[in-house]
Amino acid sequence: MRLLPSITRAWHRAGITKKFSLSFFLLIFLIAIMLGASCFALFYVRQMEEKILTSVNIERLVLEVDSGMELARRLSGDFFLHAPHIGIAAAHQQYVQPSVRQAARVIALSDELRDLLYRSQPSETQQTPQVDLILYLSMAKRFTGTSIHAVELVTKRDIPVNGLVDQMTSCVNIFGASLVSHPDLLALHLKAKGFFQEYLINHQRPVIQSAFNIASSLHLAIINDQTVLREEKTALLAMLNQCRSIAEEIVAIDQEIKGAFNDFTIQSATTRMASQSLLQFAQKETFRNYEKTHFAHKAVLIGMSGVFVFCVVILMLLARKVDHDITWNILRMKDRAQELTKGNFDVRCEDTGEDELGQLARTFNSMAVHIQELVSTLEDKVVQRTAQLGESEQRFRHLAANLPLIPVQGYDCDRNIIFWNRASESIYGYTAAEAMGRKMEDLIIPQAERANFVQITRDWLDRDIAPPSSELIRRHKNGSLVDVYSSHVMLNSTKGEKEMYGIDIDLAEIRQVQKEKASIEGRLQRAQKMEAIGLMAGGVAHDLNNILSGIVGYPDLILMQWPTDNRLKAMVEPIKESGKRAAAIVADLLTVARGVACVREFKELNLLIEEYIGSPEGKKLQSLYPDINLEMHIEARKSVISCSPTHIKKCLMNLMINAAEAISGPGRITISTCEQIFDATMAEKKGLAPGRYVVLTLSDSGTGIAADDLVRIFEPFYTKKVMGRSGTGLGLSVVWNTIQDHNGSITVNSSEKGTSFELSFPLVNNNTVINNDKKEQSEIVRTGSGGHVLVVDDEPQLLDIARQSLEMFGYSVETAKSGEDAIAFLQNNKADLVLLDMLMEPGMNGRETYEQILKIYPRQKAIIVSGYSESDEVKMALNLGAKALLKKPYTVKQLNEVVLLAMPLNNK
Amino acid sequence: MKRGPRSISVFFVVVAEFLLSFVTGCDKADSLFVCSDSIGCVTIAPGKPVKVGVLQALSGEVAPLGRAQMRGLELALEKRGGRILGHPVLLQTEDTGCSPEGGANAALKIIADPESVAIYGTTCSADAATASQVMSDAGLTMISGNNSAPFLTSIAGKAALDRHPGYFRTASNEENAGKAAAVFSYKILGVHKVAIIHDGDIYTMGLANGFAKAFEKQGGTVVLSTSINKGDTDMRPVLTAVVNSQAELLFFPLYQPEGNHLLQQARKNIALNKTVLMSDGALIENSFIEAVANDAKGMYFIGPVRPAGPEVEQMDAVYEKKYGEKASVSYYLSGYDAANLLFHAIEQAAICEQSGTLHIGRQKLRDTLHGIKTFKGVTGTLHCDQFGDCGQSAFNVLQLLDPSQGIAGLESNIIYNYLPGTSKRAN
Repeated sequence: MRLLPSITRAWHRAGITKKFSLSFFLLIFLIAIMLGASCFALFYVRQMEEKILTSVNIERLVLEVDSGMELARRLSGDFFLHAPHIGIAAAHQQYVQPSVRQAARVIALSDELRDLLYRSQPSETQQTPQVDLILYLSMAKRFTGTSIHAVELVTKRDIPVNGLVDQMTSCVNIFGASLVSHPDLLALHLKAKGFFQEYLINHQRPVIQSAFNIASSLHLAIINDQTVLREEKTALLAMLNQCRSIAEEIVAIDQEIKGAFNDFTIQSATTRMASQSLLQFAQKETFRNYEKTHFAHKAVLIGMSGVFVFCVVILMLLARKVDHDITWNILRMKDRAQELTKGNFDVRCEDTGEDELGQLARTFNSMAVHIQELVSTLEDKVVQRTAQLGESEQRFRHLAANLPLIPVQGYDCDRNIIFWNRASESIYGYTAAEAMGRKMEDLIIPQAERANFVQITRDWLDRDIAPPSSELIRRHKNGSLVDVYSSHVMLNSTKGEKEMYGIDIDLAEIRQVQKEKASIEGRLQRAQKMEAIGLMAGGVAHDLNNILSGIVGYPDLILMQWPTDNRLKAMVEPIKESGKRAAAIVADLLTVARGVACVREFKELNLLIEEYIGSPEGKKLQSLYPDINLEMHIEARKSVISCSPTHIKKCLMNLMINAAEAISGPGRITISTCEQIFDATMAEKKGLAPGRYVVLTLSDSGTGIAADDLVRIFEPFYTKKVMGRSGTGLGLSVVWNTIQDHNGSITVNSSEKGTSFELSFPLVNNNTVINNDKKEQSEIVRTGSGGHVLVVDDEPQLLDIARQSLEMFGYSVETAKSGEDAIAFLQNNKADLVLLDMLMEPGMNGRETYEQILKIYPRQKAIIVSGYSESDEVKMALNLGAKALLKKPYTVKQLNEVVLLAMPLNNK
Repeated sequence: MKRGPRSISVFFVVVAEFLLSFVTGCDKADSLFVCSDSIGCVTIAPGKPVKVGVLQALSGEVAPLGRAQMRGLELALEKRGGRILGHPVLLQTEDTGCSPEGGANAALKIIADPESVAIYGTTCSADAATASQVMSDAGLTMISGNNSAPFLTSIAGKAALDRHPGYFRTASNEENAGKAAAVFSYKILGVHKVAIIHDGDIYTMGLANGFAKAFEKQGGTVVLSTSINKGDTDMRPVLTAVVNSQAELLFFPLYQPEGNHLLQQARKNIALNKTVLMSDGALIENSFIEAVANDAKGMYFIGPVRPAGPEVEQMDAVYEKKYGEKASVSYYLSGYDAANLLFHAIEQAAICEQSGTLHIGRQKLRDTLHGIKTFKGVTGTLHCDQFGDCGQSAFNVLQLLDPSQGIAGLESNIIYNYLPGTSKRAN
């Protein structure tokens, strides 16, 4: 009785895992017991069933053997019955063969039965007498032996011709024929024959014995018969003996056949008993095993039920214990935990023992104490954190409200404005006081966008489709539209309501920057384009000028040598003029290509304007357009610029021509000047540096320039005029390049009322010495002083023109085809002046040649001739001491002037 | 030690097998063989013999032929060490007496044993006819090295009357023997009138009828066709009838001793001096030559082509060594082939269990024999057709010139060779 308390204590001490392990082990153990019992029962029942099956098989086999044997015997009997009537062969096939086949089948069944009896149940079969059993099992084999032997005997006796009966019949007949001459003997023979034939019918032994008796009498009669010859007696006796021996053989066979039949009868009787005995044994065995099986079934049922009930009881007890110790405690702990979640921090669990649940209860209790302590300090922390949070929120709200450049607007679900920062005031014109409480769409959303704004807001609130960040148009208080880039944020207020915020970036400044950037890029592109065209033009200018030198030079020489009344002059004059015009175009091209490449002079702009207006070209223009009124508003007196006067005047000419051609019929061209100071903004717009500028404005009352054309008018060869009629497409390009070279700027404003070109030039210091002297060149051609001139040029034509021209003016002239030739000449000779072409190929150029010459004659005078515009090489040559630059193509007059300039008359 | 999933799975497998053994009760010692053969199977337990019935004529005048067949069987068995598939061979030998009744009764004794697998026999065609029927009905297979009557298998490409499904033979079908003799007589010998004597036996009668039909087809005349009885000794009456018919040739396909009597009595009849005598293969036997000696001189025989070649010579040598005498008849070779063919077919048809138990399907054995297309035998390549003929069918006409040379001298003197479809005269 002490066992139960100790088990209880051990149970309480054990952990949950151990308790469950124990329970599962017990469960598996009980299942194993049930399985074991089931298996044993199955095994036992199966054995019984096998025994029953064996008994049933024995019974079946015995019955089959009996029936098979019965059939075999019947067929065999039928053979003996029917053979005399249907013939042995037919009877053999119909009865004997099926009989033997049946017997063979029975032999096989007997073997099977023997196996069953001796292999599986050797002890039980001892109940049947062994002798009978062996006899029974070999019955079929024995039957076949006897049966076939009997058939052989019958065959031997009855087959036609060679059978004993036929042999006997033949013998009897032959013997009878031999006794025809002996009536007494024949009578005995016939009597014996009668008995023999009777025997063949009834097979009765006494009958044949009577025949034998008569045969014996016949034998004696033959011996005693005196009428029969001795030899005949011997033959008759031999024949009689032969017949008798055949008859005896027939009798012996008949007896043997009878013996076989007796054997069949005895076999049948013996085996019938054995058969019945076996049947009884099999049936008894079957019944006994059925009883055993039935008992086994009952025993198994009861045993299994008992084991089942026992298992169920044990499992219920186990389940109850587990429920009480584990489940119930877990539920109780769950209740305590729920109380704790409701805020009852005083709740505690009972200590349930040493297992895991007990440990869990203790842990729970300590956790509850800890939570209680934490809760008491949590409220203080919440107050502190709330204060910090409020402060933080205030800080960020202040920050957002005072953002200088980022307008922020907040609005509630009804789109009423709840936040409006300072930047919003600035961009939209409404103060916070004006904006607060009003609807967004009433305030800054343009009329056309209001419905869309309301829909977007609704989608955002209802379907959570946030509007994407994008550029939007808003409305200023003053009605103007404001471009902004707007982003949108939704927040939850402390009350849980949704608040939406729009955060804008003012795009006005960005737009301005983009516009200016585009303008600068356009100018840059134009400049690059101009430079590219200039490079091309510059390339051809040199060669063209060389060619034009002949066209200008030779007519000049001809005209000078012909008398004034020469009627051919009128034909040569246009050649010279055409050459000069072509040279002017080349000069324009060079301007475009290389810029205004000449020495700058300080000139008053006003004077240059006046010089042009008063020049033959200016007068000619005015005469061409008499309906156009030229107005001058010169305010910028004494405004000095550093310039190439020729190019400035050319600019004026081109602009004037342009303006005149833009006016159809009567009109007006206004030229005005004024001084202006450009601040940084203004200067940047014009692409200039800040400073003082003189601005020349030339406006007309023409039809104006189309906007598309306006951006391209300065491009070379861009003209809206008919090409070749009045322009080359280079006029405004020359203007543009000239202004660029003078560090100025040009702007064009055009409308239907007319076009205005505004040219800005940087002003130079007022104290600068101004060379306003106008050197009117004498129209009179002065004759040279007869100095010695060396002309160096790689072009033979130019050498020839220069030589003829200078000789005409009285100079002695030598020519050289290259720099090298010139130096070689000067090694041994002297020249007062060297006319030196700049570009010569191959070999040294003009500058290099001049350098070499200076080594020989350091004070050698020289004039540089160039078909190209002023280049660095030219400048270097001039710096070396060259007196002047003569541009190709030059006229005779120009050549003479330059030579005179370099070699004045007083130098003579 | 930690118990892994593997040990657990092994445990469950063992338990499952334990339980399964109760449910199914499987006993690996039991054979799973179920006979599906249409006419049954013979099961031979380990160590038990393969039972083969032997039906031969072992008594009477034809006993030498029966003995030759027995010796062919013995040589074939000896070659296999007396075993088939590891089982000893048990022979149940029965004498048929060369009679139909004897054949039938002897066959009964074989079929009475349900474990009999097959039969080797018979000697004579007459007993073969009955024995073939008995054993076929019982589901057995029989093969002969000596039967040559056409009616046992096929005549003119069709199943013959006494053809039974279990019957096979390696001896030649003598359907063409009569034809060969007739063609030889008419064309080679130039004979136009013939007399024919048979003994009523279906073999001799068949041969006689075949000869008569072919001879008349050639254009000749059969002036006498009659029979004697087996066991007759006085042939003078029938020879008188021959003389009266004025036949130029007498064809008498008889067995011994009737053939002996007829020949000897004919030689004594002066009126038959010029008459050509011709018999068949039944008399191509040493005992006949020895018995009749010079009376047979000049006589013709129609018989199957005797096998030749090194294998035959080797077999003859083995025969002589084993039995101390030369073979009296060459039919022992076809007997040897028949036995070999049968044993080969049993081996092919048998299903062998590992325990050594054999299962031989009775129909399967027959089908296996029918399926044999090229079996190398000493008589040539054997090929079994749908009627059971496995041997070749070529014939020679022989003439006995010197009785002292015995059977060898006769068989070497080939006058005419006949192969179905072709024929030629030998030099």
